[in-house]
Amino acid sequence: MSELPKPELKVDASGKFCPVPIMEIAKVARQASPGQVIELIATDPGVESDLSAWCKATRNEYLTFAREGGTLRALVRKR
Amino acid sequence: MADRKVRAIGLLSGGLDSLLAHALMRAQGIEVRAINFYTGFCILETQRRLGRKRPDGSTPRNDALQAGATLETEVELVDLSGPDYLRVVTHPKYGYGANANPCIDCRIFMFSKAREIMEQEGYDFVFTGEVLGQRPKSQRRDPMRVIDRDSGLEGRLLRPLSAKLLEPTLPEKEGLVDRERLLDISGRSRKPQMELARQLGITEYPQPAGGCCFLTDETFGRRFHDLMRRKAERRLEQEEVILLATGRHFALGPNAKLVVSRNETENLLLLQYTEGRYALEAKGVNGPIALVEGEPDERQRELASRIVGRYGKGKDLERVAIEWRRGGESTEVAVEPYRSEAEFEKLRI
Ligand code: SF4
Repeated sequence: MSELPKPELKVDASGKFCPVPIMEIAKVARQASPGQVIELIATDPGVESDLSAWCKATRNEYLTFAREGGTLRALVRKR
Repeated sequence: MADRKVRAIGLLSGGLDSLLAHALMRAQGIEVRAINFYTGFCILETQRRLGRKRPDGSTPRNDALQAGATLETEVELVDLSGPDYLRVVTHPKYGYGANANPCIDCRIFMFSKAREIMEQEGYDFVFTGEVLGQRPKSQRRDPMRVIDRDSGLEGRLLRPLSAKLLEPTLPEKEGLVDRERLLDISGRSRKPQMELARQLGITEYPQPAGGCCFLTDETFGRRFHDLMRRKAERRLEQEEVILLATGRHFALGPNAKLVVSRNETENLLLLQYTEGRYALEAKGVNGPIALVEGEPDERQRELASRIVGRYGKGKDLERVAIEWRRGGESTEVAVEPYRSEAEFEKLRI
């Protein structure tokens, strides 16, 4: 298995309700340079489907998604 | 047609009509910025938070983001859920629809925001997926005129699906949009839209979910109006919105109200809002978390405790001790749980 890239930017939206986590990652992604990897940490379970739709719409690359207890962590690479 | 790039802001709810409006505008070569306004009253978000599923067992999805995926267009989510929007909800100039929905004022507020973005960032016009006659209040000709005027978008708000039934807008008159390629759909039938979706190759779109805004929900509306009557000042806070959408609500009296959770997720949610409220829980047996707002007298404390006892595992016991906690202090009220919901149904809000 290939190593996951180290995130250069981080968005911690723990405790925030959807769709706020997507608003926050979108804001960071707008400022990011192409190729930069953004880590999103969230607790609202709706993030999983929202993030995949948002990546499809923005053509950003959805790298991984993992749950650790109630915390969700995802990596996205900016196009 | 214009010899420069025409740019428009499209309001995208995620429903089929807004998807079609976007597709029609893009088919005319117009550069579209898709915006979705988040009001904080979204039923879907609350359902997802509470882990509820759709009738087919799937998890509800955010329609606007899904629509963005379908159109391969970024949908910008704009948060309107702050105090200014809450003031629109508590003080609508044009009143409420059937429940707590101030649809005309809500649209004026949203469209004003869209106009601000349009003006600040040099867009030519704003468009929506609204269909004439589709909704009883806000999508009739006269309210539409009021909305256009009060939002400051008069002449710059295009409704591509019904445009041929409406006065030509400025972008049509200026040749930025070809009116001939706009439509004349009206009324509540979705057949023309489904046919158009088929022609445009749009296969994925949400089915109308029968209301996606809590303000149009009967129970929520009843609770909202009850809350407004209880308050000295007509004001609404964000945490009150969350509480109005959570649990079972009972009026203990004019100055005290009980909210009882319905499941584990609601327990966790209610525990986040204990500040300034009593938190109730049965001792020694599993049961719901409940909150009491206001200052209940002794009779109301007993009433609330009997209701909380009724929804716990101790409902068939002779007596259950209910713990009342607030600000580090704790007391207990031992009661006989109500034996059936019918005994306190009249208190339900
Ligand atoms: S249903 Fe009415 S109040 Fe709710 S978001 Fe739509 S226009 Fe606004």
